[in-house]
Amino acid sequence: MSISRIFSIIKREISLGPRSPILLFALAVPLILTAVFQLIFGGLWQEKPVLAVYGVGDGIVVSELEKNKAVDIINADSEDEILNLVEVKEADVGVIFPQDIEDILKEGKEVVLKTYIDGEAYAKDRAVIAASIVSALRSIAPEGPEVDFEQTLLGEERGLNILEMMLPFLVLYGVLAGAFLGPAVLLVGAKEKKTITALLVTPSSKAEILTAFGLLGGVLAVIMGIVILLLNGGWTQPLLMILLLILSSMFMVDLGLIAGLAVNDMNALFANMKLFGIFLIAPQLFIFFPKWPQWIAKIFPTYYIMHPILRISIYGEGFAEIGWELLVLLGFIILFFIPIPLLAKRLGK
Amino acid sequence: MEKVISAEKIAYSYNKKLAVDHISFHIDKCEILGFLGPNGAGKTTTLKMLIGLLIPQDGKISILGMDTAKELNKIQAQIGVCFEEKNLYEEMSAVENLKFFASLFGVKKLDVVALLEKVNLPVDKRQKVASFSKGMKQRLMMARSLVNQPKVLFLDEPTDGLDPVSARAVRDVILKEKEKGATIFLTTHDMLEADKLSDRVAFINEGKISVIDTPENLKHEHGKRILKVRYRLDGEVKEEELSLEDKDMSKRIDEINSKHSILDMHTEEATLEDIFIKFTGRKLEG
Repeated sequence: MSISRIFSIIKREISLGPRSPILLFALAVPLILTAVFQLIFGGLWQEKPVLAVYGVGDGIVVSELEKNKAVDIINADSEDEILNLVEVKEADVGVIFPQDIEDILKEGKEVVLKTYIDGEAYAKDRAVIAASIVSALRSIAPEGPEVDFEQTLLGEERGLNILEMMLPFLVLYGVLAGAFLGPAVLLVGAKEKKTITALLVTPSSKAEILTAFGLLGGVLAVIMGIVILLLNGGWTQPLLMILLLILSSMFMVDLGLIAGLAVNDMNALFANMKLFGIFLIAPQLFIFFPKWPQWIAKIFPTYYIMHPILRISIYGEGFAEIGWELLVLLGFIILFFIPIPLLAKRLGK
Repeated sequence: MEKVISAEKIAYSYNKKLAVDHISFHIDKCEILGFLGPNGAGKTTTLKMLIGLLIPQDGKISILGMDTAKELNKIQAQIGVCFEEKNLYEEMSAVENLKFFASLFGVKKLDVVALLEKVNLPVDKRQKVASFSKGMKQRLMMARSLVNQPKVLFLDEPTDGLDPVSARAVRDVILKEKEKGATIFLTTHDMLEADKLSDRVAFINEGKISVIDTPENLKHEHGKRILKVRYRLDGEVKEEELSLEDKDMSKRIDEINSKHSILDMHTEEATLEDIFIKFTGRKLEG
């Protein structure tokens, strides 16, 4: 396989820009939906989560927390004030640090933090605050202290808001537009215009051509995913999120290549998308209706894209919690890769 | 003579219907083989097998001494293909098209200007191929097939539907490439073009090669040379065809001359088309 030929093909596509109105429309849709949801339900310019702290004065813990620009800090004078700030919703979370926290950290002991959480605080904000506290403590004690949150919920617990529920769908749509539609439209377009046969009689192999189309769509999908997450305030744990976006893009590239190889014209491509599209977005229904039996959602491969997005962005969970879901997604990537070389044999005939 | 292309009993079928039925042929170095046949005869399927778009279901193809089933990429690096379909990137200029394909062949320094001049195309870096005439597109297709200075050229109906000027430009390029040492496989259903360009022609019909030989030999061995005589009879113009091989031809001419007034007479050679019909029972345009 020649890297230079792959990049020649990618360069040609990039230099001309995406020309298919369908592809441009598909790329614009998640961004438009984001803007619409944000305008209707608010959130695009949502204020930072507020953390009320007591017990550490102006010491090193607060200064580390303030370095993290993701949260606003209120320094309270007493535990009662913390309770009051959370009850009147001036703070999303209140945390009481032990007076001797710096010593506990130096000794490498477990840190127990008493926290008050506003029941109506967004899950995402709670996750950001928890991550910020852990990050601040780790910057003081790099060996990584154990942190135990003793949580008290104030007020009624509320579920996910509409923006949080829509986030996995919006990210999936962005990834689908880039990684599925990108390679599929490029392949079908090349078949319709017969340029694929011109490519196939050069030293470029089918694998190089498909890699170029897939790579282009995959990179576009990762960028789309990052942009949508940033716009929706879901961009947390960058490394883990990028890993999830790369795996999601690889899965969609598989589907895009299968579709592009299997059909010969755009009408057939979109007819099939209408037919099978429901299977791709089906897990979203189970996010909207959490009382439905969740095991059904797990049958769909895209569950292993949408659910980890929710768990990382909204609940702040890490690799330890979602690792197995990524592994299942990797399994689907391998499974859906299998028909590609078989279908590619038909290319150019 | 070095055999540059060699096909041995190659076959291909679509939905169990044989499109190419175990044909064998070879092409020597610097030779042009005209592959003639009507639509659906198996020309394009044969071409697709030669250039690697189809894998023969039976038989073996060797190009430049390499097996297409084993060393296709190496072969493709040394061949040029000019398709009948205008499969150019229409949203790019001619220069961009040529540079892109040169990059796929790993050609670092391509003299685009010389290549475009060779096929009589203007060097305009901005004009998109979409605005080209059919003739210009065909000439660009020809230029594209030459970006890697191929040792073997595969040309599929290269002058089909072209105006006389464009057709001549394409034919001139083909002959120049032959002079430079290229071996050329030419499919066409234009008998005159095949006659002008080909060193040998092969007639293919219903997936089988009926005959393969030089145009001269075919005309000599299988054609009928005739003498056409036009004369006036009772005020009307009559025409009579006499075989040049007929021993009584002179006697018949004397007879006509003595009784009637001869207007004109000329010899006529058999055309490749006549011979094709003789071998296949079909006309080429069919």
